Amino acid sequence: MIDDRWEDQLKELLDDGALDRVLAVRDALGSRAKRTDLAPLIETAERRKRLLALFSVESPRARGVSCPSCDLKLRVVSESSRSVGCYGCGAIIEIGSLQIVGERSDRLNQSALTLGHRGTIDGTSVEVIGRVGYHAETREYDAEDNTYESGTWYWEEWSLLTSSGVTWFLSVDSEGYALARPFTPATPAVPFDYTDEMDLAELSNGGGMFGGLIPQSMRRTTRIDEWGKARIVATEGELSWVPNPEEEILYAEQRDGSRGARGVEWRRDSASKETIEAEFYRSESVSYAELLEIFPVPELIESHEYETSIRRERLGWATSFMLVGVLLLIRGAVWSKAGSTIFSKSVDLSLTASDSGYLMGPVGLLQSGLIYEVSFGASIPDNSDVWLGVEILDRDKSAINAPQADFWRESGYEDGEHYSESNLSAKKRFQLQEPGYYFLRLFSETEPGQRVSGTAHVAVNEGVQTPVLYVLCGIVSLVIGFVLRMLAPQPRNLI
Amino acid sequence: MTQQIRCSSCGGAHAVEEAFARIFACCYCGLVSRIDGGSLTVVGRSTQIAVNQGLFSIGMRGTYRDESFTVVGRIRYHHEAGVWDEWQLICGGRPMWVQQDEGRLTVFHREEVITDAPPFYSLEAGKNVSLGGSSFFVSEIGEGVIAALSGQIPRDVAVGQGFFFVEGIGAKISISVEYYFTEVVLYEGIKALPEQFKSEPI
Repeated sequence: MIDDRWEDQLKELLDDGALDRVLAVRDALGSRAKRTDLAPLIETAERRKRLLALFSVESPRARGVSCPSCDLKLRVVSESSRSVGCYGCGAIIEIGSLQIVGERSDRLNQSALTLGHRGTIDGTSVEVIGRVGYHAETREYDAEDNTYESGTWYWEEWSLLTSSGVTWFLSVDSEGYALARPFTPATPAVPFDYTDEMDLAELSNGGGMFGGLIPQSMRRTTRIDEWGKARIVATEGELSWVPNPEEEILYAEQRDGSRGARGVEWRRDSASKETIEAEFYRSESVSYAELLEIFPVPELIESHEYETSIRRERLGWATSFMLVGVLLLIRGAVWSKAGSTIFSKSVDLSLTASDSGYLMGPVGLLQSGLIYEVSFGASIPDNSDVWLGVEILDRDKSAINAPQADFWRESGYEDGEHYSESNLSAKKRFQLQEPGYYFLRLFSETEPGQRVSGTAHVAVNEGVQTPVLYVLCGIVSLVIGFVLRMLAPQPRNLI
Repeated sequence: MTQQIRCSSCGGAHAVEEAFARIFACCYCGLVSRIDGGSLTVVGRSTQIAVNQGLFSIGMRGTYRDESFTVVGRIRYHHEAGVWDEWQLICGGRPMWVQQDEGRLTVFHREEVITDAPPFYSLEAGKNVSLGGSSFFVSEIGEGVIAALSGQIPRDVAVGQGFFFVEGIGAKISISVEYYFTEVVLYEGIKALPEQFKSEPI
């Protein structure tokens, strides 16, 4: 007869660890064991027996693990590791039972960081012992719309074993690197009961679920910036758990300062969907350069320095071109000038009307690198016109340049409106091949039978600067600068 | 003169560091004995836990928060998701447990049998639970079993002894509740960092 005393005795046996005696009762009861109130206690004994056999008490680090598939001897670094990937055949092995529980996936990205690399973070030695690739369905807060945008994301996490046995995680995704360390928040909380049908509007508007957000203090709640559920899609090396591709890892994260984030990951029992573990972490962005300080792999540093120097050089050139471009534009815009007048004369038009014209000079045009400008024009009465030509003559009286123009002045009434129009001056710029003393000859011509009284003016300016050239060069220089900047190669992130 | 225990199986001698030790598991051969007064009664055998290069080892001496400690015992637990260790330290003359779970340390300095614990099956990780008037966040629940023993342990323990456990985080303290069929034990402690334990050179 089975009564309460049996139950009490089995409970005491279980509390004393006498599992074999409980199982002996089971064997004695035979099929009756499952039909009595003792069944849960017997199941407990069976479960605990299985737990005992789940892991080896011996240190995997001390004994290593032989791959049951290819017999390769695998090094196990962490006491906490529960699975290890065979780098030979790709089998994923549960360390305690030596069962193969999966196989390597090619999903993991190529990386110059490899298992066994050692580094130092804030004075703490770390060793790379494993890597996991996660694929997640994410919801990320969009401040503009005050909603969460759905998406998918892939990232990888390197497991870094510290000298004291704690595991830190280096996550790598298309946005960069982040170092995550476990921490205990002052007021821990899992943000919400995760359901696939969760009402996003309720989240974004601060509904009831906000009450449990990862708060910085209990006095206020803060917004989750990202949350979702992830699955493991690939692993290598050691892990402190047995990877289960079916298991969903839920997470929620909020930004913490400009470079940091804090978050919580929680796992649910696959059958009951009840949460069985929640872990908190604090992460901080790490630049590639900082990563190279953590893992000073000579080849990576050399490569990074080389690529950085190329980029710096290109950016240097780009900046120089852009600076020159800006300076040229400024100069073109504000620094154009008429130069200094080195010769000026006004002559009665009648003196210029002959075939020999009116000779002036010599004028010393002595600067070979400067631009000269001859400006000429006429002061003539209303409703008259005159043609003027200026020959610039060398010492042999041979013309080296001969600008000419029609000048006129007109006024009157049209449709009852008075108008007045004129064109009374012209300019011509030139550069000398040979500096020296030159002459100017001024000619004038009027319509046949017309005589125009008035004065012709001619002047020579030295050192004239035109903005067009500067503006043009400035634009070209800026374009070159921008192109060089765009073409400056980013150093490759090889980790 | 330091009192000594001599293993009745292998004869290995061990200095008695824990005056109130109830269980003695020989570090050499794994024989587990109950200490009754001055005599030892053999109660079983434990698989020897491999000596590793971890933070603690039996017999190690050092300082924690300016107080001298000696590591006198170790319990290795198995649970569904892995293993953890609890080290028995005599620190400043008082016993304390240091839990080492994936490198993370919690120093438990108080244990108490409680009667007002909520039923284990009503608990869920990620929720808050009220214990002794304080609220705790449940960070993990599961079932654990003692897989191995080593050194001197101040309570009756045996390989195969199991319990349901709840790990919790409260205001500045960590808790661990062990649900046995016959009693529920609450442990209170604080998180610690490995660098707080400074070992003395041997």
